[in-house]
Amino acid sequence: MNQTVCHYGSYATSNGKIPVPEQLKDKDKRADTAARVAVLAAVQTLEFVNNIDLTALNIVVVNREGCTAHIRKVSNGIANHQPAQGYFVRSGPQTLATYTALALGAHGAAFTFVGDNCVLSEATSTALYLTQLIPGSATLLIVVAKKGEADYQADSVLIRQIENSNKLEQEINNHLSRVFT
Amino acid sequence: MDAYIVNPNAYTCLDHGIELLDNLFSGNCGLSAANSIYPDYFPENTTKIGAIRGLKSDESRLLQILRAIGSLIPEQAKQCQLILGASSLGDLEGRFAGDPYGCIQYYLASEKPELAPLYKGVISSACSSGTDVLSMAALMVDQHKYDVIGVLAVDCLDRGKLLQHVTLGTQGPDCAKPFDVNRDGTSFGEGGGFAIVANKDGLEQLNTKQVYNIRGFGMSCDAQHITAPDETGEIPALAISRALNAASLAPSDIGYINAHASGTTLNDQVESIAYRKVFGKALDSIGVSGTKGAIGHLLGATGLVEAILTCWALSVKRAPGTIGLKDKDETLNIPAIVGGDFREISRPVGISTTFGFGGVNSAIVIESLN
Repeated sequence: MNQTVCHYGSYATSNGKIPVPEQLKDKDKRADTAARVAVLAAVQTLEFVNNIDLTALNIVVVNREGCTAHIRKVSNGIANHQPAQGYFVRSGPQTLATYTALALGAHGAAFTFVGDNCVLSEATSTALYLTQLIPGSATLLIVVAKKGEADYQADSVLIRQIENSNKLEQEINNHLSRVFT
Repeated sequence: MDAYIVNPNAYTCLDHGIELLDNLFSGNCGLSAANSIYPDYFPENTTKIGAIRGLKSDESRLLQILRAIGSLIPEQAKQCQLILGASSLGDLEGRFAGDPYGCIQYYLASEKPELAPLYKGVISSACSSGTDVLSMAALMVDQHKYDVIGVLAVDCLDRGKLLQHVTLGTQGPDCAKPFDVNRDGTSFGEGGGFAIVANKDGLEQLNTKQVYNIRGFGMSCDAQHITAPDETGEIPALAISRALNAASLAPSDIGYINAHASGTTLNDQVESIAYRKVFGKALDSIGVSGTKGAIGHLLGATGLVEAILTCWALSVKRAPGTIGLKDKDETLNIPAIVGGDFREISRPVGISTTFGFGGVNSAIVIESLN
């Protein structure tokens, strides 16, 4: 019988301050704040977890705003014909997932559900189904929300093996939906 | 999978509906010179782009394209239980800058109010978004979370986005020439598509027969670089082999590959390596083609539009050629069909692949049940 294992984690900024995650320092330091928060929540969640098969670790993110700081920099230059391609390639909402994959070295799926609490149920179901799809796989589901003007909070859960996905879906939804309140 | 594609339709610079496929068979190209679309912004740049002609410059491009796609959404969509979007960045200026979720929400609320309550979110995985929304919808109907889901993929190429890609060098100086010895960049474009994804219960509710079955999908992430692909092809190959495994198919079961075929030097090289790793010698008996030289690279919408073209090609049992490909790069060792030519499809199963920034790789396996 499969065993259900869930590990929860979180990360929040205060006063808009956020460091470059250690895991990105020698790879790419230019992640938007929202992407950094996602990475740091993921790292916190996996801190005491062993034996994860990174080849089959999926990253699924839920976030409404995307990389607003990077988008602003790109938008501001356009009228003056000033490209900001460095920010542009790092400004899609998918970067919350792909930077997390980059930081962890995860080779499963990596994508973002853009939306708020409304899409959480779909994201949770998807994370559970993806974990069932490939034996030995795991999925890291990260919910990132903006708090006030400059702060972010990310709550996350690592899902490994599924025994009763309906019960687990409710448990995960209840836990992660708090980030939107 | 218990997941079927119903009433797919696509809107591009070249055409919409099944006529789009006819245009590809005829060797037609819908690309325009950048300076004919943005004469004030790019007065001297003649690089070719897949822009929708006739859009107003003082209104969101994404919103105008949504209206065009919206005209193709069938009545059956009202029976969907969920609408999921797919896009990358959408507009880069104006009220919806970087917010395709908000733009789709506004469009549905103002012009498709019967669908607006069903809309919950957008899948974003760069240029794989359109493939991934189809895969996630298939997963959810297969698992009976829903019976009927509508997927709407859309993206636009505004002047700012073209500026970034010209600067990056991803937009070539002329037009995309996938797998060609002279390839030097892609041709970005805009457009999108809509499709209903249903399980067997959903097909009964829709009173529709099975036409296209989503057999499986696979996804992977290079986790190496934020823009450059995995040059070994190992991780892209993982997505393709995962899709075949999920579909319980062997490489020799595939009759057509709709390739990402962006026309950049590195993408086509990596993609060719990945196919050879997965398909081996079986690749030589499969028709391979791409569409970006005819309709452009539709960014976050490209995956859904190309999956729809895969459906249509399978249903007529003929694979269109790769517009822009004239002089094959033999070092790639890939059986790509040249532009204006076609190849009979002997097995009714195709695979559509997409790769995107952040190292995302996606593949979806579709069977025509005609």
